[in-house]
Amino acid sequence: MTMKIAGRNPISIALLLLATPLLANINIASLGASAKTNSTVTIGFTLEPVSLDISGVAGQAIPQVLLNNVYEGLVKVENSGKIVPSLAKSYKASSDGLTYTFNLTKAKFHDGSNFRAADVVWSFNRVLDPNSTAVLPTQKQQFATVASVKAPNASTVVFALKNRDNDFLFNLTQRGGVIFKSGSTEFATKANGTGPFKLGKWNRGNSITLERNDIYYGKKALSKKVVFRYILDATALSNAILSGQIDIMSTVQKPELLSIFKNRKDLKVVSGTTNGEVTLGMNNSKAPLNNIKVRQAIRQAINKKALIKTAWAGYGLEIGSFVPPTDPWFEDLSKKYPFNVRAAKNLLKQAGYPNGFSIVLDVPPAPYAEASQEFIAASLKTIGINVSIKPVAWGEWLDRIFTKANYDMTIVAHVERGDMSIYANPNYYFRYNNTEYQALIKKASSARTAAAQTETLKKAARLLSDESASDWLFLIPNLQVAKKSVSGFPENSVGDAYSVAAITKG
Amino acid sequence: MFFLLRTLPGDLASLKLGVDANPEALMQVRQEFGLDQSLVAQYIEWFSDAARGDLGVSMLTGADISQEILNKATVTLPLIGLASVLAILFAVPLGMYSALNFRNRRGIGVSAASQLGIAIPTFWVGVILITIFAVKFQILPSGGFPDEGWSSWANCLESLILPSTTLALGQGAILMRFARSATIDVIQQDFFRTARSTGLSRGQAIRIHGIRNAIVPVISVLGVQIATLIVGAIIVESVFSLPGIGQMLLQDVGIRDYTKVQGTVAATTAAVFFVSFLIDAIIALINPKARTSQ
Repeated sequence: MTMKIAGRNPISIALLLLATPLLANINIASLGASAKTNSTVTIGFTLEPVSLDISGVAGQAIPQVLLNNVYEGLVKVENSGKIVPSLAKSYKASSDGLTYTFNLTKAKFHDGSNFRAADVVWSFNRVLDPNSTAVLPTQKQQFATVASVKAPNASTVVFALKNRDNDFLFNLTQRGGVIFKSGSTEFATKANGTGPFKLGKWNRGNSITLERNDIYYGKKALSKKVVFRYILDATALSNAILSGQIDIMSTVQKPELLSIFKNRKDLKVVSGTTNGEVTLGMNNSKAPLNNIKVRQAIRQAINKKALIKTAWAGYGLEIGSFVPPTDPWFEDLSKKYPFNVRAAKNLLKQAGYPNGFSIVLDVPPAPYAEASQEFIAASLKTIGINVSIKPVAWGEWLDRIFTKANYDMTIVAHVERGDMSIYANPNYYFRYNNTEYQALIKKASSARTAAAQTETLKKAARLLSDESASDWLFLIPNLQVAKKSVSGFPENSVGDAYSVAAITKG
Repeated sequence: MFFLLRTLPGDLASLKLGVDANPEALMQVRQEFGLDQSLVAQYIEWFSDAARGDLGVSMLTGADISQEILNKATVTLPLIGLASVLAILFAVPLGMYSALNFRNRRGIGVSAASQLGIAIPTFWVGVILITIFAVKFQILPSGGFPDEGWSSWANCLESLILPSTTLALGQGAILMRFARSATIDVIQQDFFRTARSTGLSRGQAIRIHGIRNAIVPVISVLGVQIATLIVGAIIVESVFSLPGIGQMLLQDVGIRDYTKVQGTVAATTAAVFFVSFLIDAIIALINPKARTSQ
């Protein structure tokens, strides 16, 4: 079971900022080889990796810079969500979904050695080794269905699965699926990958420079150098693009600043989609929130449209359940429990709280949470619920709320793709325990066809919405600001990588 | 410090493994980091190494801590140094000016402005300076520090202009008040009157007898203020996203890299002691009284 939430801490636990764009909307091939330039592109991010160990240290900043740029998997996911070959030229799944065969491409690691099937086997044995802490538990869990990885010859790898796993291919595209050179060590400070960029200088506290890999087997990167510049302070990041020091601002932490960017002739604002649902988490195991009517009342007391306008400059999307619109099982459920103060008051009365109650809202230091807190408190006040806002640091949030579920309400954005399963875990901090929902999630993960999976997950999303296990405030848009002369950067955010090979300037 | 740090919720193991870590994996990582030992044992081990000048390695990345501190000091030290010089350069003349005019409007105006300088928070001054010089006129960078370091020294200086000015304004405002009262003190002294009576003009008397006397309290206050300057540097580094010691410290506290935070704080404290000592020495050079009184 995995989870990822969006925050603004310098740690990059599994918490992250806005989400992470993947492959650009741009067709690399159409640009042709002549577009290859010697330019340097500088991109501003907020969270810096604490280490370069892509498999052993949590935190989204690590795959953001390394995945698809320095390290590659057998397959990768495009912006459309389509999974395409990467280090594997082609792949085939058996009809029972238990065997995947990959034909490997001819590639070289950055140190000049050849990429071989043995490297794939070595990399995955590292993940599968039950006694090692070198690989994050999350990644191990993602590949828990893998029974064995074998290399019948130097250019073929065969994965045998214990049971059908509809997420297997996608998991291969993420950080757990990257291929290391067999026998690699020192992951924290070095990165010997196969990708279109080599790791250049890491100037801690400032930047990581990627340099074009000129012996890359595929389409070469279009820029000679790409600098990932880390600026923790949101205002400082905005100033960096306004003063022309960076070419792309990969995340807009303060949407109220958008009007400034829009008024600039040399800049453009780009809004893409994410998987980030800003969730008003409620403790389903604690009175009065263990009462479904109370939770429904809270949902109906909050005017989402007005909230989006207040908190995120009108750029968010209403969702009504825990599904982003890029998932096939998305349905707009926001109209099911619409803003209606009278209905909300009625629900509270039926629940036995005609005079309301008092409750604590724990707010982590994330921009979307801080921007929403007052609106939520004021909204709930209209139906008699007194909310006291309590700011919490991420360390405390993880410990007291996420781990111990010692809280009433909190606001956090969950950004992982296909993370509906977190509501199927009764020990997750929502403490939502519904056997029907759990059965649906289980059924979906072993569904034989994509259509069956979609139907089942639609049902699950509706159930979740009806039960109001949480409230879902809005979907975070993937807002970026760039110089007009820059193109080819990933606009949407559908995974952990920020692929930069197609970026050009000028 | 050592124990306070460990009362913070969360530890490095849980931050390293993320939120999905199972207790066994956490335990294993804690053992690797030595976090399973008693606090006293951890402290004795750290202190005995630190006392020998060995600050150890970062718990998360394995990088040598002394090296990292030295590395970051190439940003923070010039920042603080430049800020101190700028603060003195604008505090002493302005303080003296305001003292010489302490009965008229101009003097009071300068004095009031210094009050404002003390009251305005550092980060706000920084934001204003960025808005004017980096965003509006685009003549100076809004933040950051050249990746090449001091090998491109002109760029480095350029990126330190706004941060050190920010830091200097707050400090200078405080120093100015001391320069002012010291000068008022001096011009009311007998020796100053005597100097004037020997035929020196007011300006000459100030140059010969005033500056020296006014600068001594300013420098000794600067010595006391050095700790405040470092705190100010943490804020300024954050506003200008400078990769200095302050920013590193903030990040390390965030990820609970205990050994690195301890090492950084120990090194900074040592630096404060050293600078205070240095300033005493400078005062002795300027002020003969401080030499003879011993």
